[in-house]
Amino acid sequence: MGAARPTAPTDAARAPGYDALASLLEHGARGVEPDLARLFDPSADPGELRSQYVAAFDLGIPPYASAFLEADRCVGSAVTAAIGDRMGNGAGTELAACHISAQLRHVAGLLVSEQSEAAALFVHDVILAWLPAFSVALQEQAVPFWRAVVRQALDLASDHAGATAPGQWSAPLQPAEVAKPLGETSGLADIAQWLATPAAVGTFISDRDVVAIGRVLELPRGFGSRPQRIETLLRSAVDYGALSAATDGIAAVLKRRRGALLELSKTHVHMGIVAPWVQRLDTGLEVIGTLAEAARRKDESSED
Amino acid sequence: MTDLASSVANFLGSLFGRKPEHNTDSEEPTNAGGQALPGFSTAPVDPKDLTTVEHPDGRMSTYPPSSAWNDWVEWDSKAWPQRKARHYSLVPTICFNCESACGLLAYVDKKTFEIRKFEGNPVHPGSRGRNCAKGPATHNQIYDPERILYPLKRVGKRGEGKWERVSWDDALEDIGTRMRESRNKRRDGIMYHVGRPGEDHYTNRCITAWGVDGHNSHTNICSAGARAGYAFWTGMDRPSPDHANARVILLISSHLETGHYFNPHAQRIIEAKLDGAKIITMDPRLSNTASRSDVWLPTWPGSESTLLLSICSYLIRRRTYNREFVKRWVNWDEFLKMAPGTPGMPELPEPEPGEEGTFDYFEKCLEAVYAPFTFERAAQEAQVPIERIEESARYIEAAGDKIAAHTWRAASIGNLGGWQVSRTLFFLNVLTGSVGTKGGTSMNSWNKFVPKPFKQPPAFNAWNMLHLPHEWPFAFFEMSFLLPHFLEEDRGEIDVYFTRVYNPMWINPDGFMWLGALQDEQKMKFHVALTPTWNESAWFADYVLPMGHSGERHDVMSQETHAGQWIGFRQPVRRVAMERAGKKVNFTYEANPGEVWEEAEFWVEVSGRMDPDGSLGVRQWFESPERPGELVSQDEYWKWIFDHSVPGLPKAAENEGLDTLQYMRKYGCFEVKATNYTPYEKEVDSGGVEIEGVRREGFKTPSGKLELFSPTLRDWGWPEVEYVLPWTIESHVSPGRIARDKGEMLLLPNFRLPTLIHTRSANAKWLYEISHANPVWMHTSDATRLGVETGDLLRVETEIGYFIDKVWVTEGIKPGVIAMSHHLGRWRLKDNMGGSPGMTALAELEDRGEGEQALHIVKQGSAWETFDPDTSRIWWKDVGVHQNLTHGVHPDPISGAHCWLQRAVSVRKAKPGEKHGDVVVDTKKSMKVYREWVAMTRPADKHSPDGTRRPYWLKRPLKPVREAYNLPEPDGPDEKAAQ
Ligand code: SF4
Repeated sequence: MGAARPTAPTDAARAPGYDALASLLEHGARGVEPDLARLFDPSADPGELRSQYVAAFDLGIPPYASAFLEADRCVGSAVTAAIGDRMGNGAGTELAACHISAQLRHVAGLLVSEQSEAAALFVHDVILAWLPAFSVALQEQAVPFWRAVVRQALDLASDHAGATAPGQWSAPLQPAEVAKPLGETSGLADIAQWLATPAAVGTFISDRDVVAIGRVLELPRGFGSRPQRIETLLRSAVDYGALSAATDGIAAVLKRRRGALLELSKTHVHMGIVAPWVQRLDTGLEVIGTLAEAARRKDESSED
Repeated sequence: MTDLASSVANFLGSLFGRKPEHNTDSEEPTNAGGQALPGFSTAPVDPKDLTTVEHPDGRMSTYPPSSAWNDWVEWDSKAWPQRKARHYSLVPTICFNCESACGLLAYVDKKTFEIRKFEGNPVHPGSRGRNCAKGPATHNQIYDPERILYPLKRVGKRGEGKWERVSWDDALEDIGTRMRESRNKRRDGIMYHVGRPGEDHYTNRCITAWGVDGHNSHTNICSAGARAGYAFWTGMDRPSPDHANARVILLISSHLETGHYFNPHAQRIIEAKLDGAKIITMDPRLSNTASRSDVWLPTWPGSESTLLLSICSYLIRRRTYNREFVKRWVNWDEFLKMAPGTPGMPELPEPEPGEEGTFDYFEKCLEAVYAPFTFERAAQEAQVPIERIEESARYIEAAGDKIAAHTWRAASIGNLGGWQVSRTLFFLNVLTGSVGTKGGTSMNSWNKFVPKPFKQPPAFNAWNMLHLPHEWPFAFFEMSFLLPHFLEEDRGEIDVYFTRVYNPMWINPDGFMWLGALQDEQKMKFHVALTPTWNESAWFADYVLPMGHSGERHDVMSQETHAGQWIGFRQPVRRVAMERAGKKVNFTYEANPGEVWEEAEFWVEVSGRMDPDGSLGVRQWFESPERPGELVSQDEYWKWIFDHSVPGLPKAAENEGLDTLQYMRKYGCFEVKATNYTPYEKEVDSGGVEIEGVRREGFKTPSGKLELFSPTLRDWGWPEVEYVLPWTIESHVSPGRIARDKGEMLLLPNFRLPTLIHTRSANAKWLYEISHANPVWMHTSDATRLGVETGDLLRVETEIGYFIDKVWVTEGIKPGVIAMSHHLGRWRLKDNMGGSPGMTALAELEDRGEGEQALHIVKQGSAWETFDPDTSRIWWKDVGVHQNLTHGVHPDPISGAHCWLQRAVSVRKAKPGEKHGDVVVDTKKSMKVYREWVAMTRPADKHSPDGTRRPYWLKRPLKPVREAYNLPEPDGPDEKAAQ
C-alpha cells in the first residue's frame, strides 16, 4: 500500500476503495489488514476499534439503509428487498442488502467488472439516498475512528456519483412517508415512536443523544429500546415540569443535523439528494414545536 | 482539486494495489480441535414450532419438542437478517461444571458435527430446562483455543514444560505396566485423586477392581465439616433441603450462589419465596443471596453455632419444638444414660420421683443444658443485633416442620469445630421435626439414585495411611490436603498418582508444599494428570491426558436437587450425533476434538493393560457381560445398568418403542421417584430400629435414631460436652484470637462466585468476562484506618507468608473481616502454553532457599491472537491473585476439614516495589503450623475403644473389608497396607 496517487480517481482506483471500506465496516476492523485500519488512525488498536464498532453501530446507529428509509425501521422489509433486486444478489456477502458494507462491496464488484454506469447509478440511487443522513447522525457520536470511515465512504460515493449537480438520475430511493403523531388519540408513546423513526423526523436520534439531553436536564431516561427511552425522557420531562427544556434539547439536535445536511449540499451532493431529509427535519421541528407549545399552555394553565 | 476530490484521491492512493475481498460461505466440515472456528451447514427448511414449558413458579419458556430432536431446524441468529436454516441433531447431556448435574441440550450440526450451542434440557427433573451461566459456557471450554488435544508425555525435567505428543496406545501401555508393577508389590501404591467427580460409581468400581485403597478426594477442603456434623446425627453426610415447599429457608453463607446446587436449588428457593417463605442467611459478607433474604445475619465467623443454639434453646424453653418427633426419633434414652458426668456439661436438674428415665425428665435436662445459649450471648458473639436473631427465631417457630436448611462450604469448612455448625443447624431440623418432610430437610441418599453396575468387585483389604492416618479417625474423608506434609514426614510414597479434573497445587492451601511434592520423583514416582484443561499441577505431571468436558464423555449421575430421585446420562454428543447419522465410532476420542478422550473408556482400556492375562484378578471386572473375554464397551456397560438397575426405566422405554439405552440417549435423564418423603418411617421386617413397637427403616447411626448425644465421640476419646452434644467450639479465628487492636484481621478466603468453576473457568471466555479478579473486600471503617481506597494495593500477611492484591472498599463486609473469592489468580509458567494469556498471568517461581518460595507475576492478563477473534478482545488485565499459596493448613481434629479461615497477622498498604500478584511463603512455617494442628488430634492408636482405626459405621467413599480396619501392631510396620 501507499504507492502512487492518481490525481483523478478512475473506476479501477475506486474499486479497492469501496472494497476496503466495505471490509472495515463489515468486520469491525478485525479480519482486515492492520495497515488499512491505520489509514484512519495510526495507533489503531484492534480491541479498541472493536468496542468502538459496537458503540457506533451495534449500540449506536445501525448501518442499514432500512433503518433510515423504512417506516418500521426494520431490516428485511421492502427496502432490503428493493436493494437486493438492484444488486441481483451479487454482493458475495452474508449481510443484508441494505447493510452499508454490502452496498459498498456491490459497487466494488460492478467496478471490477467494468460496469461503470451501473455502479454510479447504484451509488446515486441507493447509497446516497441514505448515507448523508446516516453520516451526519454518526458524526455526533463519540466514535472517532468510525466517523472517519463513514465520512470517507460518503466522500468516495459523492465524488464518484459526481453528485454535486443534479443530472440524469432517475429513481433514487426515498424515505417512507410517515404521518405526524398529532392525532386526537396520540400520546407520548406515539410521539416517541415517531421521533425514533428517521424516515419521519429526518435523522436518527440515538441513545447517546437521548442520554445527553437527559443528563443536561437531570431527567431519567430509563432503560429499554430507543423509542422507550425517548418516551421515558419525555414522560419524566412532563413529571418534572421540564417538557419545554426537553423539546428544546431535541429541537437542537434536529437543527444541528439540518445544518450539517445543508453544508453537505454545498460540498458533496446536490440539494435534491438531501432535500427529503431536510424536509423531514422541518416536519420534525414542527412536531416538536407543537409539543413545546402544548407544554407551555399546560404550564400556564397550571399556574392559574 | 476540491477538498472532496483530494480527500478521495489521497485515500485511494494509499490503497493502490489492494485486491478486493471475496466472501465465501463454506459448508465444509471443520475441525473442532481448536484449530478453527466451527462451521455450520445450511438447508432450506422452515423451523419447527417450539414447545412451551410452564414452570412450577408460573414462568414459561420455549424449547424444541423432543419429537424433533433428531432433526431440529432453526434460523441462524448470527446470519440475521438473512434467513439461514441450520439443521441440528439435539443431543442431551449433563453439565459438568458443578455438582448439580443439570441437563444440557447440545445443538450438533447435522453435517459438520460441530456443536453450535448448549441450552437447557426441558425434560430434566432437576434443572427443568434451566441452567446457570456455567452450563452454556461449556461451549467455550470445548472450543477453547488453548485446549490440550492430544496425550502428552514429559520429555524434560518435571515442570520444565517440555512435552511430546504420544499415542493413546503408548500411554496406555506405559501406565498400565506401572500400575501392574505397583499392584504386584502392594495395595496402597496407586492413588486416584479426584477434584470434580461428576459421576456416581464408575471410577470407584474401577479402583475397587484394582484391589487397592486408592481413592483420594478433595472433600476435606470442601465439605468435610458439614458432612461430619450431619453424619453424627444421621449416619448420612449430606443434606437435601426441599426448598420449593419450605416456609423458612435457613442458609449458612450464600448458598444460592456458592453452593453445589446453584441452579436447581436457586430456582426452587425463588419459587418458595414467591410463595411467601422467609429466607434467613448467615454470612459476614453481603452476598447476592444475603441481599435477597428476609433476614441477613452478618455473623462473626465461628459464632454461627452459638446463634443456632440460641434459637434451639428458645424453642425448647417455650416448648414450641416438635415434642412428638423428638420423643420418637432422638436417642434421648442414651443421653439420659450417658450424659451425667460429661466433662463441661451444665448441671442437670434432679429428677422428680418417678421421673427418672422418662422423656419429661429428658426435656427438663435439655432445657437446662441449652439454657446458657441466650439471644444476648448469641448477639454478642455473633456481633449482630439481637432483634434480628429474635425475628429469625419467630419465623422458625412459626414454620412447623417446613424448615429447609443447608450449609456446605462456608462456616462448617471455615472454622475449627466447623462441623458443629451443621450439627447445630440440623438440631433445628430435628427440634422442628423438619426431617425428610415436605418443605423440610432430607438426607441426600433419599433424593439421589445410584444404580448398581453389573458384577461389583469385592471390597479390598488395604488401608492407605496417606489417606486416613491414625490422627483423624473420623475424617470425612481422606486427609488429601496434607499429602505433601505426609510425604515431607516420610510417611509413604506413591507409585502411580492420578489427578483427575484436579489441580491440587493451586486449589489446596499451602501450594508451595504441593510444588515440592509434585517435583519429588522419589516419593511421587509417576504422575498422570487426566484433565480437560491445562492447570498448574498438570504442568508438573509425567503425562497430561486430555479428557472430555460435558458433552464429550459418558457418565451416569444423580444429585439431590429436590425431594425426588432421578438419574442423568452424560453423553459424548458429537459421537451420538455421528452414530445417529449412521457413522461408526469405536472410541470416543475419534469423535471428540483432537484425541480428547473420556475416563470411562480410558479406565477400561488401562485396566486391561494392567492385567492383560487376567492373572491379577483385575481384568475380569472390565470384561463385557455379553462377550466373554473381551473388554466391555460403553453401550454394553450402560445398557446393562439401564435394563437391570433403574426401576421403571425399562417400562418407560418400552412405552416409547425404544430399548433402555436408546431412551437414555434420547432424553438424557429419567425420573425414578417424583417425591420421597420420610423414608426413615418405612416399616421393615429386619434391621432398622424399633419405634413404639414397630420396626422401621430409621437412620444409619449405631442406634438407628437421630443421635443428639454421640456415644461414638465419647468412646473415641472426645467425651467433653462440646463434642458429644451439638455445641459450640471456639474457632481458631474467634474474636478472642484475632488481635484487632494489633492490626490483625480475619481473612475469609473461600467464598465462591456463581459464574466461576473452581479451577476450570479459565477456559471459558464468557465466564471470565463476567468475573476475572478477586480483590480484597474490606469494610470502609477498616479502609479508613489503613488509609486505602478501592484499587490501592494491599499487603496481606498470613501465618506463613504474604500476598499483594488490590482492595475493594465496601459496606458489604463485616468490620474486621477481609474476604476474597477463591477461584481467581491462575498462572502459567510459559507464555505460549499452560494456560490462556487472557485468563492466567505469566508467572515466575523463585526458590529463595531455606524453605522460602516466591511467585512473581511477569505479565498480567492480555489479549492474544488465535483463530477465535474473541481472544484479541480481552479488555481486562487483572486476573486475580493466588492467595491459597499463603494459607497454612488447618486440619480440624474431628472432621479432618481444612479450616479455611485465616488469621491475617498484618494487613497494610503495599509499599513501592511490592507488586500486584506477588506471593512469598516460608514453607518452614508451613510445617510448623501443620504440626500445631496435628497436636490437637486424639489419634486412634491411643484412643480407639476397640483396636480399630475408625468407627466402622462412619462412611468412607470406598470401604475396605472389616479386617483392614484393625490397627496394626504397635510399633510394627503397617502390614495390612503392605500386603
Ligand atoms: S448449576 Fe451447575 S450443573 Fe447446573 S448449569 Fe450451572 S454449572 Fe452446570
